[in-house]
Amino acid sequence: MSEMVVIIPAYNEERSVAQVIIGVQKAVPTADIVVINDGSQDRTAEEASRAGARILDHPYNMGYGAALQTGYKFALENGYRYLAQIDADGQHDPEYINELLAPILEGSADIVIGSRFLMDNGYRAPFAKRVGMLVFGALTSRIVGYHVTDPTSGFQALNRRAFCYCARDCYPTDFADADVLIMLHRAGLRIREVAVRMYPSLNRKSRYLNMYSIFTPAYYLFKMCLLMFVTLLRREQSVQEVVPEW
Amino acid sequence: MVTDQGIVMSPRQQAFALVASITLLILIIELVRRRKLREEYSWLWILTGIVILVLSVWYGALLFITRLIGAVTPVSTLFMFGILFLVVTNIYYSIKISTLTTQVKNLAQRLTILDSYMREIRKHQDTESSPVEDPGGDERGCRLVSSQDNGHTWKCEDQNL
Repeated sequence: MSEMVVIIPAYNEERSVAQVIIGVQKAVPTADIVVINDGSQDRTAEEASRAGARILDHPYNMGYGAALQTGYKFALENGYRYLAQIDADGQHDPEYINELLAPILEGSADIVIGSRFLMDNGYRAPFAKRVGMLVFGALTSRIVGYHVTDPTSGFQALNRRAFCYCARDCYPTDFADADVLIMLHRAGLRIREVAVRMYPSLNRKSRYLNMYSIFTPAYYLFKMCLLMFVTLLRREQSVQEVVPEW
Repeated sequence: MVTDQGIVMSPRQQAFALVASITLLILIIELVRRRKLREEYSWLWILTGIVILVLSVWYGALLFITRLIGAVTPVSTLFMFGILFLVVTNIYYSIKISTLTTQVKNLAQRLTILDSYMREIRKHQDTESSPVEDPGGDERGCRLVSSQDNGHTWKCEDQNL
């Protein structure tokens, strides 16, 4: 069994999942690939299986965060040391997995986040999202002590210490945002961002893609303010308490 | 009945509060007896029933609380307690639901991973029982070439054997 696993959470991604798997196979041929099929109603599982991935089938749709966490738990149980996560809608370029993994492999970071804003992708977020990112990015940067540009990016690499911590109940079942970054930073995990290329999603119907359209900007603002506030009030267990062997 | 503030709680109101609280208590105890309601969820309801019962019977206590909280009539004190109880119950159930949601998520994730192991084992078993060509064959040159009715057929290239 490989030391590395690439997890791909997928919800109704039959059009793009196979293409993503092939891209990952080319980029990291030694890694095992696991698709977490989060209760899709289409042929996502079949397409992914045919492309050569191992399938973890959720019995019902549990959310993006829960799908990622299933991947973390699977990686934990099966003794993987490194993990990369990539979205199934084709917006992340698998070529960049190695760049995400490099700081993890050399031991300089526990979590590496692929940021679409560190290089010019021609990506323009909607106005409300841009304002939100600017405000919460600035707040988060101040708390964690490094410049956070893309806290919502799902293109990440983690070492065992990090995914062991995220496999606990403190991890959200929907979308990890700036509050989770703060929590992980306060737990003692080292987080870094690297520049990655991102494309528009291949699947316009993907519910994961439309995470912001389901929240009105006002609700998102309220939710983030509350989450960041309570995250700062909480006493989080440090990563040494949770993963003592590291 | 007349209070020192000149506020009346009619015997009819008192009787209604009494009947309502006793009915509530009987209903809750019956639901627990029939195992339709778990004991851990019943204590808040029983507590409310007892509080309303005590306040309806012990009018002095109701008047004292009414004065203490600055309510206009004893009836509004009873209503306020009812509403407060509903708020506390809702918060209690929200906490329970949050706990249950996490537990169901963890169970579903466990099921997902175990299901994937089971499918791997099945796949492995299928591969073992499916037609396998053994290029080496045995020492006589016989090899397994097909599988029929869950059995294997050995064929020898040298027909004399």
